[in-house]
Amino acid sequence: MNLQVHCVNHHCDFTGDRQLPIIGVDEPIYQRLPAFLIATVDKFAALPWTGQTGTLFGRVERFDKNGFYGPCDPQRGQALGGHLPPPDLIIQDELHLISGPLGTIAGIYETAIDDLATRQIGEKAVRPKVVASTATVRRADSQIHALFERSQVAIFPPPGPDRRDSFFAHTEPASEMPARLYVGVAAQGRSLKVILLRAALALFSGAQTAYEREGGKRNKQNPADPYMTLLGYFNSLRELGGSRRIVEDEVRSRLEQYGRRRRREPVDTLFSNRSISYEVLELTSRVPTNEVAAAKRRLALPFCEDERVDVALATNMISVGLDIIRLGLMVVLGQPKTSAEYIQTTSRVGRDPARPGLIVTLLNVHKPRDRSHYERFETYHASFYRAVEPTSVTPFSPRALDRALVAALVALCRQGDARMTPALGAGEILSLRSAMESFAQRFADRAANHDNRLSPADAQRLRDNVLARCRRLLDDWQNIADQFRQTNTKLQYQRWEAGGAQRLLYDILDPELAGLPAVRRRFRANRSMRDVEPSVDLSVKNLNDWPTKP
Amino acid sequence: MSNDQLRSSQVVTTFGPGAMVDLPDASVIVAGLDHWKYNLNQIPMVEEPRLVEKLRRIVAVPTLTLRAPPPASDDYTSIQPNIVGWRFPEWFIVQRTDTTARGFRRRRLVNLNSLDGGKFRDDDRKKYPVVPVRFVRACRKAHVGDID
Repeated sequence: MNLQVHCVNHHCDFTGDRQLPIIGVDEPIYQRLPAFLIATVDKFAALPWTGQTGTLFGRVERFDKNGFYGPCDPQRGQALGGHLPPPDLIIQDELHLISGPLGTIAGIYETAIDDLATRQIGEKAVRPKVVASTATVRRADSQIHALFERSQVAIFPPPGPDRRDSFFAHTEPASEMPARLYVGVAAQGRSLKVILLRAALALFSGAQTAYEREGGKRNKQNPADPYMTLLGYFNSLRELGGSRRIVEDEVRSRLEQYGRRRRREPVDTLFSNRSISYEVLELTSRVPTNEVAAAKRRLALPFCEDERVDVALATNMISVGLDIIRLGLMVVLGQPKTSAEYIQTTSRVGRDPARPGLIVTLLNVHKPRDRSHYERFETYHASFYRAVEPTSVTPFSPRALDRALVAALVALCRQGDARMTPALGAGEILSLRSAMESFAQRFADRAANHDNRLSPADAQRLRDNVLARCRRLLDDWQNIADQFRQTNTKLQYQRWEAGGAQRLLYDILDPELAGLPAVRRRFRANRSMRDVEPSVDLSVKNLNDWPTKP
Repeated sequence: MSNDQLRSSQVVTTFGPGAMVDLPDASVIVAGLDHWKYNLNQIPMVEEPRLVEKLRRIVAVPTLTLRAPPPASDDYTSIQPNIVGWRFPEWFIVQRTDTTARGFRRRRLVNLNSLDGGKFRDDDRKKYPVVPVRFVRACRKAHVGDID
């Protein structure tokens, strides 16, 4: 299985049978070992499941013209006479996202990855250099320490004598280049839904007036274009669902006559009638990924196109990674839970320096938190980077260990020792149990060092705890393998990896887990960093189908 | 029938039986457990010994156990566990506005029975999208119903 990318331009160097040097499928990647590899942290989860992943850390033995082979493909290629060096530069983009639950789980896997990527030069163990880019964080050094166990953090660009001019970056004053205008709206005795309705009506209708004044559809460079598409941000799917019904129904029907609202004296024409599309775009986890991709494409279209979007409703799915230059108008329903989230989300609009963004934050004065934000709206917004919450990464907390220690330990044992790497290597634990001790030690050391605010006594306690857990897991693994050996059954890592063997690892949500003995139930691993809980299928029925309708 | 999904914990807290849920394409009210489809042996048990003990005492059922909502299954050979949402409200407003001679706008109110594949086929034989009505009735004893 492979994916080849060719250029359709006949004059290009990469046309015909000369493919672009890009690999996009897992198996060829493990074989070709590209010099530059792009992945998401979710791929860490493949380490215990797939034996070939170790080749990425240079754990290869043989080669031929098609690439390199590790211990999983024993027959192929000729001997290399040694290993390849492991990766020596790791670039972590968007480090601020590797925090909270995701960062905690990723942090445990990082222990295994760091160890696999460490090379021994003489007496010295040399670890890869980690370069991370980050936005809106606080106390990044402790996050980095917990995640990568690096105590030294150098910031680039270094803060200069003037915070507006660091030589590498220069801040334009808002008077010359406005970026975003924040407006807070709150009303006594009104529900937030009503405020949303009123605000949406005024924004839709006001934008229409401006759009028409600037030449409407005929003007392809219409300066009001960014404000014709309203992006709604909601803190929960429940609020989004309710608001979607309001937009589909009430906003739409009222907008068609909204132009009647005008002042008699002095006469103004702030509002125009507007007919918005029935269809409301949704960017949330509950619509399929391909629809989200289609929605993003449509959002980028200027308003004169037929497939234009009047309104898109979103949850925090958009707070990262949505980079559509033309968007200029956002309505935030209720103050988001964290300031980092608020900054990230509202930064999705007004990304074009020539077309500043307008953000309308609707606050519920009857909620103390929203009220406080409303009362200090100006001060807060003038310096909201100060309010960014410190991120928390706690890879060695007990619940995090429950969830991911098995996977990370199995990953390190499997990839760290070539005899354990093949599918049936899971059974080798019987003879290699003592060799695995150093890996258990590795996790224990990391646990003791991951947080330099721990007292020596606490660090020692954590080290002992993690060491005991790892040893118990390895012993359990050995016992499982031993039990199977007595019935002459082989042990493999995952189902169908090698024929005729029992498996060691189960998916976290595998229904078969419930029927297993406790010792085997421990060996469950994630397939990604974020499988948290099962979903429940909901079947929509009509009450008429109820046999005994009341 | 449809591929709507809810998170397991949402079914316990926000969207339990009797709650109204706004799905992307429908508004439903979650049905009671007697309408759910599941195999009791495949449902994960929730281990909360102290809560179970207390509940057993309160409801006087000594064999009471706690179960998670039935998780969705990828295995097409066995039953597909699911929970049920009744479409509610059953009245819809057609997304097509007429203007009368006197300048009033009106939209038709139609019942679920007159829908055709989730849309309303009007007298001009075109299909129009519908949205659920915004009002339902409720009584002091927390019953909810359509405004018929």
